[in-house]
Amino acid sequence: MKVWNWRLPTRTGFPPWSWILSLAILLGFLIFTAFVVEFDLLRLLRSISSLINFLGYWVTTPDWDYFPQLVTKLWETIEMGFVSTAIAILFSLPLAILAAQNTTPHPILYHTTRNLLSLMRALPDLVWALVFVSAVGLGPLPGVMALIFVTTGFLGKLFAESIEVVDRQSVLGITATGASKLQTLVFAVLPLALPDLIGTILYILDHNVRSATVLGLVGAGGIGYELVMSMRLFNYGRLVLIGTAIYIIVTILDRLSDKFRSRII
Amino acid sequence: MSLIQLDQVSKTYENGVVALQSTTLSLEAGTFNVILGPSGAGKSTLLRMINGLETPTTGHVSIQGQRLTTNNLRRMRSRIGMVFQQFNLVGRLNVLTNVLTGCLYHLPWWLSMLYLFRPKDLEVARWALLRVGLTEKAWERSDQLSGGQQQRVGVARALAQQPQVILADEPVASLDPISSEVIMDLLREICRQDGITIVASLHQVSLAARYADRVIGLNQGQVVFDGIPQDLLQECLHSIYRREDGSIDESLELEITH
Repeated sequence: MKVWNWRLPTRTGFPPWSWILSLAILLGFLIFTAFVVEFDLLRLLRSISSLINFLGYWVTTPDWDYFPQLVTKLWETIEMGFVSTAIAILFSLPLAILAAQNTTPHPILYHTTRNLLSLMRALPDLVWALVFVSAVGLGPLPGVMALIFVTTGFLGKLFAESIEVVDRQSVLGITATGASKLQTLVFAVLPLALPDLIGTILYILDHNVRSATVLGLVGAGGIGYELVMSMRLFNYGRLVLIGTAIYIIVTILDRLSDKFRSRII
Repeated sequence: MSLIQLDQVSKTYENGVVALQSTTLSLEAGTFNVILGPSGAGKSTLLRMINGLETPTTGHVSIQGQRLTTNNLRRMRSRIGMVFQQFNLVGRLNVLTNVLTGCLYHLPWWLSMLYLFRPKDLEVARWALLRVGLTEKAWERSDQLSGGQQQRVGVARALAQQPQVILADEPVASLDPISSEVIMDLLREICRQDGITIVASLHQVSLAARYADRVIGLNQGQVVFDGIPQDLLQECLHSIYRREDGSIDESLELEITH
């Protein structure tokens, strides 16, 4: 039996040069970056023992006295995620309509909103939280503001992409009745994009609740502050509770959004 | 007086394809007109120029003596219903809402933003659904319906516009023979009872012969036949279905002999 008995469905039977070249460049780039990030297998192997050591601390009695305080902070975190998502939807939907090729009133508006949206996404929410904390002070408000800002950027882009792939034939059917652009948007584009839009919203909601757990790092509300403080004070009794609670919340949210999504589509 | 007037209209697409060569046609009110021709002959282009979905490269289109311009486009479209090969309904909306979209031109924008319709729109939509025999399907999602039923919703939407003309672009090309007959009968009934002018493009010669008052044969963007279906003799069909190299589609030979 011949081992060397295969061909690719190309003209020569071999991979095209462009593929080989791209792969080579990618590989070269990875090797190059390994040095930059000081990738060292030995160092990784040696760190395993201390990692196991650290995990050992987690096998401890949870600090149940802390539980009521945890619930308040957790609730605050969840609320931050929900509120920021809701407000970001309100801002991003009109922006998305301007930033979608098939619904934009003018190419200039299309490019302007696209640029605006990528500007909003350019920096991570943690950085925006820092900015807003110095502007309005500590607490959940700057955290919510940062989340709104960044997720409007994301939602706007993702919504615009859902709008762009809407079935053109259905839109044409409404246009042919003499309906205005606005009416076509309301009666064809939005209902057709709806399952996609809801899928995106559920994903962003999930993302925002998780982000809200971290924003406390810079004093922008939520469970994150407690997490960092307990970590610094080596208070593993609390850390166990916080970690487990975050895991449970994210899982529940994930299951709920799956249920909801399957019902809407 | 003719209802639809095409004056030396032609269409050349941006990629250089000539879809329609200079054509002058006038279609009479209340008649059933069939545009016959192989795919790529320019049937769709001709139809779409009547309601301004395509703008002619040269020449102009008038409806009832009024020229189609960018300014009166929406008003003109509101008087022209259109039925599509792929039905072009909004699948996620229910049947009644799909029919109601035929009334959008006359609906104030603030009402349409909220999906609100006036009682008289609902009356028209219900009447249109009754006409196509789908009253009991009003609350079903339109993508749950069979192809034939979806096309009847398409016809009802056109009827809800209370149009003077209904354009039908290959209305039965994606339907089975029985549903096709239902749709064609429906269009003929609309033409006879309501006096609505029908302009339908078809590629089945037999259907054209049965339903048309007037047949317009297109080939490679040119009108090669224009007359009553009884005059649609073999030679005419050959000129309609002639390929660029002069040969004739064999499947057509079969259809003609039937």
